[in-house]
Amino acid sequence: MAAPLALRALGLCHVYPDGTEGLAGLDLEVEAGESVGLVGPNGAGKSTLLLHLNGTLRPTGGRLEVLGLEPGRASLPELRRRVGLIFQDPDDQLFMPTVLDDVAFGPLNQGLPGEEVARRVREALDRVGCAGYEGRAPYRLSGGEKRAVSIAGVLACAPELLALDEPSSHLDPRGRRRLIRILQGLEVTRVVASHDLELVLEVCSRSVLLDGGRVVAQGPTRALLADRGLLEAHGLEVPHSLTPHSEPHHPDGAHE
Amino acid sequence: MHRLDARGKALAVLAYASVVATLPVGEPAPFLVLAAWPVGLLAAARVPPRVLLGALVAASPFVLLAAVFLPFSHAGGRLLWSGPWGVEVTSAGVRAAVAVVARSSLCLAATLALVATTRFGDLVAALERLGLPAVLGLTLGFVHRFLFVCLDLVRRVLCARAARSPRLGPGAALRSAGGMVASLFVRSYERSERVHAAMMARGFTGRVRPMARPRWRTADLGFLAFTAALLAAACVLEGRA
Repeated sequence: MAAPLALRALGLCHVYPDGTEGLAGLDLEVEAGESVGLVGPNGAGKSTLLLHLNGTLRPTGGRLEVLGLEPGRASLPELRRRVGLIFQDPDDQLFMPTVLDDVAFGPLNQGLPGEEVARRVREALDRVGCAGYEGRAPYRLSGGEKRAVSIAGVLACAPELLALDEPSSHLDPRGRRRLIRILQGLEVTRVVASHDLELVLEVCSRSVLLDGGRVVAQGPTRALLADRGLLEAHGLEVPHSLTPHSEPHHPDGAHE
Repeated sequence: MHRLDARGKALAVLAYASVVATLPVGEPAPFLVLAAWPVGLLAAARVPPRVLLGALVAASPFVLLAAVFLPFSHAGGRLLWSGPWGVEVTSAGVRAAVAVVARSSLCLAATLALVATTRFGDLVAALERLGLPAVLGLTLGFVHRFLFVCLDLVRRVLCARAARSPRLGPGAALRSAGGMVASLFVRSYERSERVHAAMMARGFTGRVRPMARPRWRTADLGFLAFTAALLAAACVLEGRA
């Protein structure tokens, strides 16, 4: 029997108030426990899809089911509790005066008792390698540390589905490596939208190529990201690690 | 000093400021007693004297502006100097000016002792527990948190402008500043939308729930009692003088 679905979208559409079409009939299924990469050019609909997962945006057409819930006013609190969304810029997400306050923000909003909150904060910070950071101010952290703490803040809510938008942006190689280790160590269902195809390759077993608000192709990450013709037709490049040494590493063959 | 409950420190500074602001200026003795409080606290907290001096200098334009006209505008007391057009300096006027400078300096020193020994978040949480409306506390917290993010943005924008215009005249600088302010406003507004979305995503319902409720300890009560005794002593001294 197949694993239960964490996400099912059928002909999902979203039109922004200014008329821009963010999603145009997207079909996608994600099984519970999967780690799925969303790749595609700018404006493909990756971020728009992620914002639908916790009800920040509502579909303007089609059907969407997240963790068995249809997004709506009634299901919103439950959806927000069960889906963790990690934003592109950690400064948007770290809004409390200290790391401790920030990581405790979600669990406290869930109305958990003090000891449980303290335990969740400790475990979440431990998980992202930031134990002992409790008293520090978010603006004093490095980019990699900010990213790690923002992930801890979401993990402390114990989500069943984790949605990450460009998690490796602004990170140096060390911060990026740390992020990859954190993401590889998680068991929760993950949906990772990124232009960093090398990261997607390391973190996601399956990937979905979006363009124009639709799914263009999907399959095992390694196979999908090695399809040069497909990627180049949609403004992407095959990751260097998947390009044989005998072949040019850039679409125009420069620097060879 | 750093470990004292922020509520106690905030209450003490409020009481201190009320006494300093309302005590009539007569003899110097009560004011010397009052001055000992913030100076002693700053010394106990090991705050370097130049920090206090810096704060006093930073506030001086406002204080001096308020004080500079007082010697000329107060009638009463001895006539110290009489100039043309009926301009006169009276001893009552000089006394009023000295009082403004003394009062504001003492209050500033006390406030400095408070903020130098209290984390901003703790201070806001303490004020909320003392009755500050939650929405004001939340706003203060955000201002403190995102001020640094905004300053960073301003630095980057200024740096980018300098890189493209090494020699900018004052007129051109002013014109481009207008555009910069507008773009900063729009970017801050957009950020606030994203922060709001991030807060909602973690189940925010309009009220920040505190982690733990602090309890009053003996040291806090001792500190409050000591402050009350000192303020009472100053009042008694003033009464005798």
